[in-house]
Amino acid sequence: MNVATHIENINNFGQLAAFYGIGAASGAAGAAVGLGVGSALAGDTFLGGILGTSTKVATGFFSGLVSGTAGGFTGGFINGFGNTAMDPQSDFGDMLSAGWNSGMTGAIFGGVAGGITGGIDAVAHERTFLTGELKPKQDVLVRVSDGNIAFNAEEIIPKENFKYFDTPLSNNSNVTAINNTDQLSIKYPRGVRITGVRQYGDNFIPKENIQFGKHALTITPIDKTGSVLLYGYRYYKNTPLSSFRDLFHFRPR
Amino acid sequence: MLKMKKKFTFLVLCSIIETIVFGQNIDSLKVFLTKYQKVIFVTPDSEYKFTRFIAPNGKFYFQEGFVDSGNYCGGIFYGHSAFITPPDNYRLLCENSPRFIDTIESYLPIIELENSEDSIINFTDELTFSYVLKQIGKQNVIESEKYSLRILYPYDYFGFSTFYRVFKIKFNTDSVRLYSFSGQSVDYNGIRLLLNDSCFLRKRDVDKIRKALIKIKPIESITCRRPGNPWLLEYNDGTEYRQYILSDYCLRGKKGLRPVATLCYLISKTGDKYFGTNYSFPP
Repeated sequence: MNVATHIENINNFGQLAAFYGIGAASGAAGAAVGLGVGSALAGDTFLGGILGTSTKVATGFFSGLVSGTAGGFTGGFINGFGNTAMDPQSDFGDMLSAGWNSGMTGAIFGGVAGGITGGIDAVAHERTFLTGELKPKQDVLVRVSDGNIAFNAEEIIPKENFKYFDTPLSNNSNVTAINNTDQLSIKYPRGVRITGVRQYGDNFIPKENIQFGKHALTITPIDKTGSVLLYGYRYYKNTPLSSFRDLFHFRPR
Repeated sequence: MLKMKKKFTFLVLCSIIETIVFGQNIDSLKVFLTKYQKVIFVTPDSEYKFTRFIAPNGKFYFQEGFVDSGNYCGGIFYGHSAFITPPDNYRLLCENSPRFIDTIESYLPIIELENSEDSIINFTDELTFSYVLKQIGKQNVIESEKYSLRILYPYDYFGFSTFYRVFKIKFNTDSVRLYSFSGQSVDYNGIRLLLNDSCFLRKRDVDKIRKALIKIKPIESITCRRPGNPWLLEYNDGTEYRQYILSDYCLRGKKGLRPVATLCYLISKTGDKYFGTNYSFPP
């Protein structure tokens, strides 16, 4: 790339090799510094990030922003400095100035790209986009019943670890009959994601009669159904940031 | 009479066919068998009844009281939950196995704190910590062991943790020794010792730990356990015993408790440095 952008200034093989070397060095140094800073932010060593021996990796927008900025600036600086040094009429001040300008451009682009990449990485690992903090998860149980069932099986999950919702089928605005069918639509409590359904009683509803939606469950009840328990989770709200360090989090590699 | 016999035979045949058809339908599901065992948790003051539930995947938890019926966790399950994994269609069953009552002594004092933020304290965490210590065979009581410090933490911040690490530091007059233990639960056998190692700490690391220890001196024993799975830090400096049971998420926003977390992370990081971070059962 560096060779292509400076093709007009290349008159011999030596110059071609030099521009190629500058491009390669700036890319490698930028990547190394970015990885090293990311590793250091994750509480590991700078060198561990460069060598790839670090067991942790910084995640989230802010971590990506910092490591991207550092990497982008380093790569940009070397590129600007080196390319200016190839001009025989430039002095050291010109090289520094060009390095600084190019470094700042690299820092801006590297920071934005690193931030977005870090944020996406965090979301992919069930973390918050900005800080990369693990989203606090709470197990949830929703009991759907006719309100007249002796039932004790919900205690399969220890009390202190789950939030419990009771959803009676009658007189409940969250339960609506679907037009001209026997199906019922049961809205999940706000923010809850359902992952499993458990039935307890004499008769079981066939699996085909239970359909999970994003916000509601569609179910075709049958007579004498004991009870249905929905298993899922929801996220707690993340607590407010209390220090600068809270902006940066890491995950296992 | 013949008519009656025919009717009776017909009914018997119908019931057999129904049983076979219905039975096949249910039996086509995989069985998710949760085993439970009665547990007596012994503290210096009293004894408490608990039941330990353990899934085939090694996930376990303690429930207050004795459970007497296998119907406790029956039914049919589609999908997955925090406890029931991997996702599938299951017939849920419970079995009282082993049938004898397990006795777990408390290897840490149970401190009931007036200024606690925890609304539910039923010793389940203390029981879990003591269970882990018992299973890995390290039942020291720091309260009565002068100049020592111990941390015990679950690997998972939330849900059912199946991996625990324990670090103990023993401050001797001429040296400081770091002990590292880890235990993992992968099946019905529950927590099993995975790693057991020790080494002398270098002076630089000792100084760091001593410095961090000085910073937590003004902080009284405290618990702040939810949300999340709490970890334990306890130390005996020769004159007094302190105990902190805290979860990472409870700590957020509480600047006053930051030195406790810092010390815990420092010890864990030091342990990683000396013993590495790669743990798993051999295949």
